[in-house]
Amino acid sequence: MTAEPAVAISGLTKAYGANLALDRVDLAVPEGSVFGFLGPNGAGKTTTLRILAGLAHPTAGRAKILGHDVVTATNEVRALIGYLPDVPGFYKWMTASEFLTFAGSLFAIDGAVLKERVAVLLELAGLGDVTTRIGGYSRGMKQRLGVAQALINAPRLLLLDEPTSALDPIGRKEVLDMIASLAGRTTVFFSTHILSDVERVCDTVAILNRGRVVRQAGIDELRAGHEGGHRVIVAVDDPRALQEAVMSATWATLVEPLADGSLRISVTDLAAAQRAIPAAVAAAGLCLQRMEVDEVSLEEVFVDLVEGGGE
Amino acid sequence: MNGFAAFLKKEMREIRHTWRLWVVPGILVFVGLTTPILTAATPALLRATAKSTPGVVIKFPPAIARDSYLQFVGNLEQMVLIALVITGAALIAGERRSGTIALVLTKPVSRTGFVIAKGLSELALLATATVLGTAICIVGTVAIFDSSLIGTAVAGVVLWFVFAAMMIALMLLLSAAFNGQAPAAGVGIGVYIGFSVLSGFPLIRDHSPTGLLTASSRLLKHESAALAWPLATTIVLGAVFLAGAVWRFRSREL
Repeated sequence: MTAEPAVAISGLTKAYGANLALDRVDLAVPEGSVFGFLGPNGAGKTTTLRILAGLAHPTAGRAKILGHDVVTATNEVRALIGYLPDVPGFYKWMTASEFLTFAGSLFAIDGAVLKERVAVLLELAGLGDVTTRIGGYSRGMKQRLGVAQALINAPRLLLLDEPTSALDPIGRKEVLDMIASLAGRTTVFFSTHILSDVERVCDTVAILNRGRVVRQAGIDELRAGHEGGHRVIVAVDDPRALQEAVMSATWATLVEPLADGSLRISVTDLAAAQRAIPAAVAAAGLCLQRMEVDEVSLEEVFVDLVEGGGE
Repeated sequence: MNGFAAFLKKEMREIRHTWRLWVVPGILVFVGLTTPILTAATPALLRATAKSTPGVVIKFPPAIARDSYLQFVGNLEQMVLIALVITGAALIAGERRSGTIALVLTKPVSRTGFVIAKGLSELALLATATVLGTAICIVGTVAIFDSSLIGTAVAGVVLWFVFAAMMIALMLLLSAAFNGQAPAAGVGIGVYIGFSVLSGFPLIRDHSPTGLLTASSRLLKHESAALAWPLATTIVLGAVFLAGAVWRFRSREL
């Protein structure tokens, strides 16, 4: 591993005529991380991935993968990456096995190594027993084959554009499990708008909206750093008395009574709140019935940042 | 690491598994097979037509081997070249439309290698089909007529092939430049028609690739055919088209 990020993007801008698809995007993806690239449809996720893959050219700014500028990337650099486009295209006259063998041969992999990898990846893609030509495959089968071909060279950097969008729940689970299993060994950069996928496998995320990165952080950091990042739900016999007791605390930003009579307290310092709330309950002579941490969901953060136009 | 050889191998396999095997080779084999037979039958057909019209007398000399070869190269100059233009339009545009280009070019295959592999496979296909079609035509012509003019016919076909190779380079350029197969084919046919029209002007014909377009017919008719300029300009223009295809393909987004 090197200290240099696996993906480093600075001031990346892409214009299609008057339409700005990417607007001075800055990103740094640490090597070995599983990086979720979130954004609503049309945010610029696919454009970013296409630039990283060398299929599109930036209008301004720079993008580097594994230390190499994507504009001048050579075959040696391409040999280190795996790429899955949002809608992968295949030679319809080939079988899945033939396509994976062809993909491997482009990387100069051959012989027993190629044969073994093809067999493993066909199993991973759930296509081990399928002998028909790709022309007859469903979209889900093509998506799974797309993931498999992106892994044929055991890449250092895996670029996946919406890898789970066409998959059924079981296929999605298998692909996500596979992505999670790569953590630490392969840098995975994948775009999606399925937030539960990101929560499940990513350690770091960036949220893109209207061509701009509105936030990049670790998932926990993103939740904690969000307004009202941590929340504590407290149920006591006299909620109004507790509300008055904690309102003045420096770690409390908002105290809201809930319909069931409990209080939801937004806090800036979770540990301090977890120590102080029971003490406040005791000092006020109240009876503590329930106390639990209520994490802000990624969905809430995403919606706030995107709909609020956060930048 | 370079996936050029693997990609070229895929291209050659693809010919066997797709319509590419049937269009240009199919036409060449069909033309090679039917030309001697039709040439031999043409005088009899015309005489029969004349008999059915009272008062009309058509004097038609018996067909000879030259007529068969002239008919064959005439088909090469028109039907086969148009088929080559239409199929060549899909060489790069087809891969872009199907999305396969994104999976290939994110692997260790350079864009230059991609274009050259496409050109080589098309050239190999045309060469094989041309040899096959010409051989069939020669065998048929010798069987029906005689063994005269075989060398002239082969020389004419070789000259035509040089022109056809240049047209493949042109179609690589157009297929790389346009998003769709239809506009590339349309422009290609326009260029072909332009070459055909220009071949009617002797000065242009003798100093440009258009000279090769009709050289085989003129050789078979024992007409003088200036070859040095047409050959040189065809090779130069073919190289320019190929370089243009590589340059355009390298600079464009996919």
